[in-house]
Amino acid sequence: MYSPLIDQLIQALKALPGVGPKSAQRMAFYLLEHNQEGAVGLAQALQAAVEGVGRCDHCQTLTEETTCAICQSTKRDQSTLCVVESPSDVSIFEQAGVYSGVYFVLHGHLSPIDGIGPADLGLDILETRLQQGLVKEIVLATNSTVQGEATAHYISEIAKDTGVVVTRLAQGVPLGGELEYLDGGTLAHAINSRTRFQ
Amino acid sequence: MAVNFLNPAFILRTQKYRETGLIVDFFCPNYGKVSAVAKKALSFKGYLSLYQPFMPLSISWQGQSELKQLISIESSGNSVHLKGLIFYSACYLNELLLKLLPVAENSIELFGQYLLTINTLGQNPSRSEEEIVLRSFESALIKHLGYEIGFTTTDHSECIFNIDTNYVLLPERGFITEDDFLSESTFRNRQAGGQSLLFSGPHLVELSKFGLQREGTRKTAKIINRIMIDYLLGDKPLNSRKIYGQMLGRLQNK
Repeated sequence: MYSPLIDQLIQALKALPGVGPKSAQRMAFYLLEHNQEGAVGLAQALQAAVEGVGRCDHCQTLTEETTCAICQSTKRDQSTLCVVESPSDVSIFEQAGVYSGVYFVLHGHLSPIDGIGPADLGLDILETRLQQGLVKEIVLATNSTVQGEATAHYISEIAKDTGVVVTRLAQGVPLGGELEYLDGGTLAHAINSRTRFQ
Repeated sequence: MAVNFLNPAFILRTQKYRETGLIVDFFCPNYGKVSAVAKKALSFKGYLSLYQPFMPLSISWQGQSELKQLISIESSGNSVHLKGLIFYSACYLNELLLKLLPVAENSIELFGQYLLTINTLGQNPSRSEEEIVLRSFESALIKHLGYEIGFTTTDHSECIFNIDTNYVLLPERGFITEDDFLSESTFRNRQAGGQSLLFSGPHLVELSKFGLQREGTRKTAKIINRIMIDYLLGDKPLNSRKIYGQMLGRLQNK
């Protein structure tokens, strides 16, 4: 329908999540007609990122360094390790500024139906790290889904023999939330993990 | 087909759909496997916890195509809590249903067996209890798909196996004696028979007589069901079985 290069661009833009043929077409024409400078910048940034970004050899997060800035920082508490499912989870913690330890990024969760097992998440690397003895506490911050819970449970099992303290993010009533709008499952979690009021 | 009334359902699998939606595969007693789009599932925070497997739900949907549009979803009980290896067993059930269950087919009996199996798995069963419910579920699924293996005469009065005979299981035909198999088998139809395995008469008689109550009979049932399931799956891989094997290996090495 379009010239080969425009078709190629539309096809390439469809690689983005949530972008279908219509959106891809709109983006392609916007870039070509109204923002060629932006298009060149986007292409260069994409190329540079794809070629330069890899995984941190300590925490598996995305970085262009061998070891990411957080893992290298002397200000971070290297004895506390927070396990998260994705690099965006790291960003959320960092934006909130509530955590001063280091991270371990799984890039997913255990999902037997999809054939994703412990080795696919780098849990063998995590186990080796726990056995080295530097980590004193591991904070399980996997998502509160069935697969996230199974992943947390598996990590707690591998941490058992290492003497590392295993903690899990609290789950229950959100700040500003009203009980009336909570579903039964969340309420059950909240009541089961209630703490002494101080 | 619009189903505006609430139906019991369990989620087999969810996949992301665009930014805030999910494509959900449900297991419903009256409709078998139902796939539906839940457009705002991830933006409607209050209901996020409902889109999890192993939680009894009530759902309704609309749409003419195979992929329906979810209209409503609500919890109809507490989520079954599955820990450790039991979680992988439960995922195995879901994967079997996902890959073998036909769309829009009455599955009331199988749904009942699923409910029983999931609830048993949630009660931290012993290894033998776990094996019994898993094998029973596999048999119920095989029967549901029209491949029930007969162990007794049609009036259920007698076991069809002889203690001094060996048998071969052909998935498309059931058990035949080893002699019959050898006499009617040319190289060509042995190939066409696909996966088959020799079973000793005493093992089959024991299974027929004692069901899944003995360790030996559970082993025999496991082999029979595996042959049938592999045949029914064809070339579809069974991921959860592979991961379960890895996890079991890890535990045994500890």
